[in-house]
Order: sequence, then C-alpha cells, then structure tokens
Amino acid sequence: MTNILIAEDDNDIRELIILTLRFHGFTVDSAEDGLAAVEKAQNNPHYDVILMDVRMPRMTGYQACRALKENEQTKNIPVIFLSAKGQEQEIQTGIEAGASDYILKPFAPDDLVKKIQRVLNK
Amino acid sequence: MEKELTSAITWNVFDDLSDGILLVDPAGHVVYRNQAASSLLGLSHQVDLLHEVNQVLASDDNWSELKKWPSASLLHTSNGRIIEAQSRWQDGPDGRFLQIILRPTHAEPLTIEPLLALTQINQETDFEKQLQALADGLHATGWQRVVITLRDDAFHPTHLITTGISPAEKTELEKNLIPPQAWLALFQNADMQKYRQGQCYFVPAESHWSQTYLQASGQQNADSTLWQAKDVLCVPLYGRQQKLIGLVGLDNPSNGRRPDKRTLQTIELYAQFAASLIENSRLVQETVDRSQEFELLLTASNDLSSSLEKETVLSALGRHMLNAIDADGYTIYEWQTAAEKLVVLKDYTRRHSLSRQTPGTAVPVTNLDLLETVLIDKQPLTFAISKSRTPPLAEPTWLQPGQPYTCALLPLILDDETYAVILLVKYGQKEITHRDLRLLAALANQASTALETALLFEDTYERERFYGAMGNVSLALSYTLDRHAVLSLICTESLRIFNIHGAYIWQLDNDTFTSSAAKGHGEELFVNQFIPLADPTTFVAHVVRTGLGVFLNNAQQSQMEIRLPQPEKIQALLGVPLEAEGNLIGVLLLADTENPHRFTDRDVTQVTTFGVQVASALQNAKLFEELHQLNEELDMRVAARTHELNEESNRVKVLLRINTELSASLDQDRVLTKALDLVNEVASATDGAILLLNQETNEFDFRATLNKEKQLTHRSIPSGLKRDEGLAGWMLQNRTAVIVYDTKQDPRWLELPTSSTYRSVLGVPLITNEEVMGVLLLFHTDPNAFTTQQLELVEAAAIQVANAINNASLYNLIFDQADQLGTILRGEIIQKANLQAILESIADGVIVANNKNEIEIANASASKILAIPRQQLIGKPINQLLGVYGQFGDTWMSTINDWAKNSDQIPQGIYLADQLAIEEKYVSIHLSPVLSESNFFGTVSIFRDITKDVEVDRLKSEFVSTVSHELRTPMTSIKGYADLMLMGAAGQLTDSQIRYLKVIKSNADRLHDLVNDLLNISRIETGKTTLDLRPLDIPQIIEQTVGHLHGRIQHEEKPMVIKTEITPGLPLVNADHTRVTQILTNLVDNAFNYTPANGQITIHARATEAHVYISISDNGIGISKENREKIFDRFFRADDEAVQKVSGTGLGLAIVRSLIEMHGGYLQVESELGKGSTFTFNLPVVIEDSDPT
Repeated sequence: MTNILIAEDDNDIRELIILTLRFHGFTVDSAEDGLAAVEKAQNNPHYDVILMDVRMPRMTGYQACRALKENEQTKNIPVIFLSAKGQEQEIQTGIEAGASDYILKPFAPDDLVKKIQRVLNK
Repeated sequence: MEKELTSAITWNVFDDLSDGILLVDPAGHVVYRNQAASSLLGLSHQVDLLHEVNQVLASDDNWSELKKWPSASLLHTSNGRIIEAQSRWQDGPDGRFLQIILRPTHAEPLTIEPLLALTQINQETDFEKQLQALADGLHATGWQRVVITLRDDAFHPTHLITTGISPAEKTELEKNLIPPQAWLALFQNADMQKYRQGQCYFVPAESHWSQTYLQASGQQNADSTLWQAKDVLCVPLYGRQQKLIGLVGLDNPSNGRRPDKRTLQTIELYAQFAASLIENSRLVQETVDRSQEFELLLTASNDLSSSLEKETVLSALGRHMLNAIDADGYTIYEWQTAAEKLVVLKDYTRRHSLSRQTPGTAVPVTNLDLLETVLIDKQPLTFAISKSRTPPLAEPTWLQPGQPYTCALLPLILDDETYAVILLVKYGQKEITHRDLRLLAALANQASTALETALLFEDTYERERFYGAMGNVSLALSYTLDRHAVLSLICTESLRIFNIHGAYIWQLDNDTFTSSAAKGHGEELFVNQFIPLADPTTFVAHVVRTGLGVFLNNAQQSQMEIRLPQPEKIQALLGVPLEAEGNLIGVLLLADTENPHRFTDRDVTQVTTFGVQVASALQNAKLFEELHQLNEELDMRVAARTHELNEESNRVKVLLRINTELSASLDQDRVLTKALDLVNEVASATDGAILLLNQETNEFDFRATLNKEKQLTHRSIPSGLKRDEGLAGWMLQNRTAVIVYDTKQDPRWLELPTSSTYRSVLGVPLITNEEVMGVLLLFHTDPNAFTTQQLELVEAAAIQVANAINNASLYNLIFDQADQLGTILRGEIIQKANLQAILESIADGVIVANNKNEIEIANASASKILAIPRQQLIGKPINQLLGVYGQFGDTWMSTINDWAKNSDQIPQGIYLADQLAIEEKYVSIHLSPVLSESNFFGTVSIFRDITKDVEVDRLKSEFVSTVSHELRTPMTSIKGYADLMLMGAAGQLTDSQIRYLKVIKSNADRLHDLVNDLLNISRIETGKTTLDLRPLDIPQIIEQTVGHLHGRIQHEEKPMVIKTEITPGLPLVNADHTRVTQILTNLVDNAFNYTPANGQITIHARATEAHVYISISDNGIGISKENREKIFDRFFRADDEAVQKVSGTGLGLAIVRSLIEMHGGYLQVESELGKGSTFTFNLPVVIEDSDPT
C-alpha cells in the first residue's frame, strides 16, 4: 500500500484530496499545516509521498519541505506541492526547497494520480 | 760661265794625276798645287792653304834651283823624301807662272809635252772640238792615225773622232763599229788580257788574237821593235768608278817603232787625262742640260702656276712637254677609276690639218696590263709603236694608221691618285730617253700641283659662283609670290646658273604631272602636257622613282622617254624631284642640246640644292595663291556677312522696339495693337489683324486690327472663321508662316465680304509653349506685296507677340495664384501657431534634434519631464543628456548616435521605444528618425511620464496575482468535488446529476482558463515572464502538438485531417521550449476549435537563413477582414455564433503574439471568412558560432 501524507489548511480541499486519493486506492494521512506535517512525517517516516499546500498557517509548505529535506529520516520522502500559487517564482521556490513536482490548483483527479505515480516510480 | 766651269774641271783633272803639280807665281807664292803634289811634299792637301814656295819646298835652295827654267833637279823634301822636279815658265791668263812637276825619283821620266798640250784643250768649250783636240794631241805625240770612240752607258757608240784617217775610211769605220755587247766582251776576253800593259793593250800582229780577229799574217818584219801593219795599240778610257766610256786606238807611230814602256806610260797618262776630260765635259754637258731642264722646269712652273684654270694648266703642261722632248702631239686623258675609262681632256697635234679629239670622248683601253704601270704603279713609260706592236689604248685620231711612232705615257697624280694619263707622241723612231721621261715626270709633278690648285680654285670658284647665283635666285624668288612669276624666274635662273639650253618644270597635281613652265629649248611647246604619276617609262618617272637628282648623259642612246619638246635634240638631261614638307610637288628638268656628256655628279648636287629652294619658293607661291584666294573669299564673305548683319541689325532694332513696347505693358489688348503697328512698320501692309483661337467656340476671334477705321471697340470680335477654315486654319494646322502672293490663285484663301479687296497676304502663326494660339495676318491690296525678308521679320516679331500674349496671360495667372498663395500662407501661419500651441500644451515631452544631434525644439513638457530648463536644452547636443541619465539612457543615446553616423542605412519606419527611470520617475521614450527620401534630418524623441502607469501596472499585477490565487482555491473545491462525484466517489448518479455536474465542471474549467490567461497576460505585461532560450527542434514540438490534436480528435469525437509539411533538415531555433509548445498548442487548438468536423489542419514548417517559419492552416470558419487585427486584442471574441459556441477568454492570441514577439519573431494572419485561416509565425535560427572562443 502506498502511504501518502497530505498537508492542507483548507478543510474542503484536504477532504477532497483524501477522498480522491482513497478512491484511487492510496492510504492517505493528513495534516492541517506545515508544522504538523513535518511532525507527522518525523514520527512516521514511512510515507511514500507527501502532498503539500504552500500557503499554510504556522509553517508554510516551503518551510516544511525544507525541514523535511534537512532531516535524515524524512529527506528521502518525495514532496509534491499542490498550490493555487502558480507564478513562476513560486514554482521555482518550491522546486528549490526540494520538491519533486508542483501541481497547480485546481487539479484534475487523473492528473494528480498520474503525477503521484510518476514520482513513486522514480 | 762655261769657261770658268771648264777651268775648274781642268784643275780637277790635275787632282787625278799621279804627278804632283805646283804652279808658282814669280814672287814665289804657290797659286796651285794638286793632290799628288801635296802628297809628295808631305803636306796636308787643303787648297785654300797655299804657301810660299820655299816653305813648300822646305828650302830656298830648292826654289832658286827651280827658278832656272827649264830645269830638272832632285829635291829633298821636309819629310826626307827625294823627289824629281821639272820646271818651266808658262804664260797664263793672269800672267807668267812657274809650272813645277813633281815625281818620285824611282819613276821613269816621261814625255810631258803632250800632257801640257792638254791644258790647252781646256780652253775649248765645244765637246766635239775638245775630242778632236785630244785626237790631234795624240797625233802630235807621234801617232799618224788616231781613232777615239766614245760609248754611252749601254755601250752604244756616241762619238767617233779620228785624225789621220780619210773620210771614206771614217765612214767605213762608223759602219763597222763593234756592237755594244761585243765591245764590252772585248775587254773581258782572256786572250786580250795577255796583251795588257798597265792600262794599254798592245796586240802585236803576230799574236794569235790578231791573226784570229784581224787576219794578221804574222811576223813580217825581222826587227821585232818595228811597228807592224796589223799591230794594234788601244787604250780603254775609264770614267768615274772605272766605268768604260770609250777607247783610243793608235796606229802608225811616226818613229815606226813599236811602243816601249815609257811610250805606253805616256799614252796611258794621256788616256787618263783624256778620260777625265771627257767625263768632265760630259758632266759639263749634263750640267748644262740640267740647267736647261731647270730653266725649262722653271718656265713651265711659272707658266703652270700662273693660271688657276684647269684648261690653261693642261694646255701649258702639254705645250711644255711637247717642247721638252720635241714631240709631235699629245693627248691628256682623264682616268675615271670607277668606270675604268679614259676620257679625253685635251688633245693636240702640231699638224693643224689633222682632226683632234673632242674633250669628253671615252677612249677604249686595249692593253690594260701595260697601262697599269702608269695607272697603278704611277710610273712613266715609253715605247715605240710599230706595225708589230699594238698600242695600249686607242690611238689619237690624228695618227695615221700604221705610221710608226714613239710614245711616252705618264701619270698625272693628284692626291696620290692617278687623275690623268698623258700620251706624248713622236713620229718615226726617235727615241725618248729616260732623261726625257724624268723631265716629263718632273713637268707632270709640277702640273699636278698647279692642277690641284686650279681644280681647287675651280671648285671654290664654281661653288662661289653657284652659291652667289643661288643667293641671287633666293633673293629674286623672295621678291615675288606670284606663282607664274616664280615658275618663270626659276627656269630663267636655271638657264643662267647651270649654263644649259632648256629648263622645265613639271608640277604634280592629283597624281598627274602638268607642264608648268619652261625656258630655253622649245619653251613655247612645253604647254598643256601631262604625264600620269603612274607612267613608268618617262625620265620624270625615273627621277621620281630615284627620289634624288639624277642625270642622263648621252640621252639619244637611252631608251628612256624624254617627254620634252624636240627630244631628238636633247643630248643630256638632269632632273631633280621638288619636295615641300616631305611631299613631291614636281620635277625640275635641265636639258643640254650640245654636249652629251654635259652633266656630272656635282651638277646633281648643285641642282638638288637649287631644287630645295625652288620647291620652297613654289610652295610659298602656292600658299600665297591659296591665301590670296582665301582672302578674296573672306572679303566676299565679310561683305555678304556685313550686309546680312546690317539687315539683321535693322531687324533687331525693330524687334527690340517691339520687345520694348510689348514689355512695357501687360495689358493684352494694348500689347496686341501696338505689336501690329510695329510689325507693319516693316511690312507696310494695307491692313492687318491678329486672330486668336477661342478655345470655347473653336473659332478665331479678332483681337487687334491695323485699320483705324475698323478699330475694335470690344476686346474681341468673332471672325466667323472656324479653326480649320481659311488661311488661318491652314497655318494653325501646319504651324507655318506663309506668304500668299496672290489671293486669287491660292485655294487656302477663303474670301470673306470684308476681305475681298486683299490680293496679298502675309501670315505668321503665334506659337508659345508648342501651342498655336492664333495668327498674325497682314494684307495688301496689291499682289506680290510681301517679301520673304519681311516674312522672316514678322516671324521673329510674332514670337515676341506670342510671348507678350503669353506673358499677359501668365501675368493674370500669376496674379490669381499669388492671391491664392497669400490665403494659403495666412492659413499656414495660423496652422503653425496652432501647432506650436498644441506642441506646447501637450503633456508629452517632444525634443527634435537635427542631423548633428543638436536640439532644435524642446517643448515645455519635455523640460518638465526631463527636469531640465528649456534654455539648457535648445541648441545643445542631445547626447549631453547622457550624463544626466547614465545607463538608463544608453539605448536611447546609442541609437541616436548610430543613426547620425549611419544615416544612409536607417530603415524606413524604424523607431525605438524605451523606458527611462529618472530618479523616482519612469519616463517612456519614443525615438524616431526624421527621414525624407532617405535623407536623415534628425530625430524626434517623445517623452511621457509613465510613473503613474507603472505604479498602476504593478498594483494591477499584484491584484491579478492575488485574485487569481483566491479564485483558484474555491475553484479547486468546486471542480474537485464535481470530478469526485463524476468519478462515482459519492455513489451512483442519475443522468440529470451527471449532466449538472458536468455543467459545473465545464464552467469551473472556463474560469480556470480565464484565470490562467489573465495571469499569463499579467506576467507578460509586467515583464515577469522570462524566456529560457535553448536550441529547439521544431519538428519534435510539431509532432507533440499533432499528438495533442489527435488526442482531442479522439476525445471529442470530432474527425479532422491533420497534415504536416516540414522541410527536411530544418535548423534548430533559439527558443523557450515551454513557450513554443504553448504558442503552437494555442494556435492548433484555435484551428481545431474553429474548423468544423472533417475539416483539415496543415502544419507547415520551412526555414530561411535566419528564421524558421511555422504556419498553421485550416479550412474553418475564417476571420472577416474587419476582425483580422482585432483578434489580437485582449478579450476580443468575434460576434459570431460559431465563435461564441467555443469557450474562450479572448486572451489566447494576445498571449501568443506577445510570446512570439518576446522571441524576436512576429505573428501574421491570412484569412478569408468561411474559407479558413493561416497563422504564420517565425523564430530565430540558432546562430552557430564558428569561432570556438
């Protein structure tokens, strides 16, 4: 089973992603902000992929990603940003923080699944 | 003189004696002593040292002894010798003197008497008499028969002198004289030598020799001391150097005894003396002869040198030679070495009756070998000519054939060359001796000198004469330039200078020689004669061919055609070509009718010199003649021209008046009337009119008339003549002036009731600017009233009239135009003021710089925007602004500088748009060059303060960014949950639910697209979009795009034909992969969207050197013309059902175009409504850097 951690502050969207991924057969865990996501990942470093929003309270997605990549236990977990911020500079910042991909909101379910699988296959 | 000479010779004879001889005067002075005496007495023999006799004889005793005459005694000389002396007193011409004969004592005494008698012989001056005296002297010594023979150098007998012999016997002797060779042999005969005693030969009759040669009968007398009949006693006479000169024969001694030794000695002494005497006499004779020769030569020399003429010298030479050897005639031949020819110079015979040879006659040489002695060895020669011997050259005519003669041939040498040969002839067999030849040679030598002088003189004289004559001719020729006079003078002078009989000039004119002048022989016949230059047979042609002077002697013998009057009389001919400036102009011929040998090379030289002058004179005369003709022609032309000029002057005066009058006014009517008046001053017409064509009626109107009675009251009166009618119509059509001499005869004349009285018409069209505006007509009631001169003048006047009419019209036109221009100008001034006001009032800053980058205009806004006072801008170089704005102004300045530098390469329509950040402000600059027909006049820079715009843009961009983010978040939920539901995550849905969810999803997608496009636009406009330029393979991107299309075809179930046309080997482009994909996808999506199902989309790619061009064509709905530009506007969507049916934001093409332009390319569209569209864009090709650095 593939374990996916989702970091998203918007409840509706967090639930949407959970539903969509579960519908496609993934095991999904979630966090409400960046810091929570980092903590979860450190506690349970068996996530296969982490989906992360950018603009979140307490700790932004970028900061969380960097923190994950700095931690020996979590640094190998691929991070995919899922953000409404689609400007180039924003995407660039995400990739620099160590993300494996950057998906723009709103997303198509198929597209989301394809990208996760592509990251997993790497 | 001869007597003194003889005396001197006698003394010389004494010197030869072996006996000493002293002659002492009564005072005891020695007056003479011979060599032998000096020798015996032991004194040096110096004749001038004559001593006292006692000194000579060493003692007074001797002298006193000798004074007793006659005595004989022995003397003791000072040198101790004893000598025998005999003395006796003698009477001499100067008184009494003692003659002492000295002899060594051992010598036998001799009979001195005969010897002393010999001294008497010396008194004789005649040689023959001397000889006779010698013979007589011997006779006196006791010989009854004495014969003396003398021989010359060749032992030929010359003299035979006898004593005691009868004339008959003498004649017999003469006949039987021993021949020369035998004579010499006689004394060399060995037999004969036996009988020699001293110098004498005594051959007794009983000797073998006598018996052999004289048929002596041997001993006849018992006493051998007695003289026998056939005894021979002879003594050879030896001259100088023991040369045999003769023989003395003695016979019948008076004592009847054969000679004893003493007798022989005496005879010997006598013979010696005789020989000396003979030799001396001969010497005297020779001296006399020499003297005579000398005199002859002296006379000849005087004669020869007294003349400077060759002829006289030759005559004198001949005469003297003739006299010198007593010859009978002579001929002097000139030796012409080159021709090996002897030519008679002078011929003479004493016999006047015989014919002489003409000078100049050539004489054949019959024996050149013989002649060569004379010619080459230059030796004189003499020989006798008899029947058996042929002369070396043809004999003179005056010699009778077969007559024997002796002749001498001598060379006459001038300058070491044989100049002439002289032949002297003596009739009979008279010998010419070597002496004669020597004399003749001497004469010839003298003559040579004289002849050289004479020839030199003759030559000098001839030259002087010739050049003198030439000088005269030259002078004479320079006096006249009349050609005939010159020709005549040349001929006359030729006769005079060259002393010939005829002179002729052939002048060459157009390849033909024409007889031009002649003097002398046949001059009256030398007219109208012609010889073609090409005729080769004539002497003239010969001269021309030779190109030099040439003569023809013996003309009658020549085959050449003479072509002169009475050619049969011409003996010699000389011709020279006449040349002027290197061209042959004629030939001068000189003829001699008497002497066939008339001409020589020297004549040729002289005539050639003369010819040069002649040619020059002829040429001068010819030039003068031409000049004269030219002058006359010129005079005539000047006269004609003067006449023309006078007429022209009058005409010009009239024209000037017309011109002045016409230009005085611009009032057309006044001008025309005045012009007509003035023209008529020349034409004197009865009436006249100016008709102008009325363009409206196409008829002629009267505009002016001459007739005061018909003075026009109105400006113009219709004539009723249509434009193609009558004479006026004809002139209008033919644009030609015309005179109608008689109107009754001319069909062009259309008679009107008003013009019936006119019989002559002069008409001129009035033309300006190539257009006939009317005609000027002058009428006369008489026929033939007008002349062409009047016509010409009126024509000229017509031009002025036409111009005046034209000027008047132009004046009106210009006046109107000036008025109009004034209005326009006022308008423009106002407009300019308005423009200025506008320029000053607009918010945009404007700076205009000229092509030197100096600011000419800067408006208030410019000053304000740039924050520079206007006075610091105007007139300043625009690039000084650079300092103010630093790097922000770089592009602006560099562009301005670039344009100013390369003003001829500025493309039309170029501009620069840039932004400047000035302190806190943003200023946009729009810079464009001012070009007119590629001339660069400067630049216009327009500034706009865009600080606020920039701020607004920034806020707008932030707003868009924020808004789009805030929109995306809810959209994610809307779209996401719709998708989730459609996936069936919420359980089975009804059809209606599915349809509704799809509507939600579709609208959410549209909103998503809108947000994306807005963001794109925003980013591009705020400059936030950057390109990641890399080499791209266009075909690969096209392939992806085609894949995308096929996806849509399948997904949307809308069949479409997709075609690609890609040029193979397309180069890589320098572009951003994402953007290019975005561009291409957008364009093919549009094509797909706006093309109905089963349509066709073609993607085409090709390359130029710099760009790859990509076109996307469809055969869809197309774009109307009015929408073709609008489609690139933001949010524009055509008001078309087919368009509205497709969802879209209206931002796609705006983004695509911006992205393409960011790549440095452009996007074009071609479309036709209902037929389809083609969008084409280009991208730059990767420039491969060939430089590895």
